[in-house]
Amino acid sequence: MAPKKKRKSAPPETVSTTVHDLPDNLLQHVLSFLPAQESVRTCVLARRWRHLWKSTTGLRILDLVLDDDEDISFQDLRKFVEHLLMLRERTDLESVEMKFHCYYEGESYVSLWTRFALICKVRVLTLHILGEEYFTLDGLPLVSRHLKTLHLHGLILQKSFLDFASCPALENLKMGVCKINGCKISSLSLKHLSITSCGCDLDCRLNVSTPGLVSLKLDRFSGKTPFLENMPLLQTACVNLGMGCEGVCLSIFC
Amino acid sequence: MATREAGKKMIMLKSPDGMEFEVEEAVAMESQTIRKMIEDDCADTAILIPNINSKILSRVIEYCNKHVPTTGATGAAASDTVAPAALAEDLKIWDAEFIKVNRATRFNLIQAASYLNIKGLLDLTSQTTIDTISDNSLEEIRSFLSTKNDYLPEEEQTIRRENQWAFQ
Repeated sequence: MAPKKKRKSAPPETVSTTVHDLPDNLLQHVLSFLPAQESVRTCVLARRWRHLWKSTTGLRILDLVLDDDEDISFQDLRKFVEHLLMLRERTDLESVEMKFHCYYEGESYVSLWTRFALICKVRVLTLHILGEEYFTLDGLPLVSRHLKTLHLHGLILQKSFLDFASCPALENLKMGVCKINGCKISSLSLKHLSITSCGCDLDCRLNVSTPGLVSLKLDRFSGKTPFLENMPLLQTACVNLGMGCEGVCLSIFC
Repeated sequence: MATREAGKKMIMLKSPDGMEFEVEEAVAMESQTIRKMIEDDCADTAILIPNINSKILSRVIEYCNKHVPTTGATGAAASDTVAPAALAEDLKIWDAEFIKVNRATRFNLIQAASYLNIKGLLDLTSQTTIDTISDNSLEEIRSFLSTKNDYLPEEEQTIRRENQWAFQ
């Protein structure tokens, strides 16, 4: 693998590259890794930066934190996000992360912002609700031809949300600390599924209907043991049901 | 020139400063740009990688070598597979060491990752840049990015007012 020298002469000295040498689209990609508040604030760095935040390829919407570490209320976050979404360019989004504390007042907004992300053809979507309380999504199914990766945390998921028939590109689904209030998770396209510290309060047994699955992680599930339907392509599985799981029957892993 | 070595197909990559790198096809195909060239049969002879000097190209190849999947070589896109936790952790540690480079090299790597379309490397270099500037004052960020504030004071005030909702 060692490089073969074709010429004897030494390669030219590396010209020192600075941020000025990066084209706008690359800076916009880099800015996507900043929390959205900080990303917008780069508008005052210099003239070139004035509008860059408007076309970042990703959005990270996080809890605002004051200098004294005191969280700002959800209303402040809502105001910020409203401005952000209305004033940014209508460019496609590669990734959207929403990670914040949220109370009942925020439910309709989180659903609305999720739909905004889907309209912008988001491929990687993260909804992570912090704190003790679970947060109920409106239960509408996600509809997107582009969504490939979905991470969910701290949510109550309703029946129709768990049917991913309208997300034909979805390949990766990770659920952590979620209440799965439906009897079936189904997706034809899903390849990687991870369900950690989740549970189901319903009487029915959760059916996992994902025939294309390649890897599965099921860790600490409370409620009736999920039933795994046929997964002929499965290569790796890590299953640890934990103490809260009822009706264990390992023969389903034949 | 595509040759065979120990049953593995090799690809020749050329940097503009005249260096040639022979790499396994699977390693080269970590770059979606090169993957497309290979799939379109445009890679019979050496592939010239414009704008990426040998120093940076060798680092990029080092990254691809480490990140190429070692098992299940089915030719499927590898970047999306969920690696076992231990392997993922190992890669993270390796990445953290790999990216300990000076600013200019990091910006060069960002450019290279973008041109060659290597998502993992682009995200790593972008994230590292952000880690350096996040939580710093605007003056510190300007200094890190070697950016001069070319706003007139009244202009800057206007822009702050315009985006006041983000400065509260």
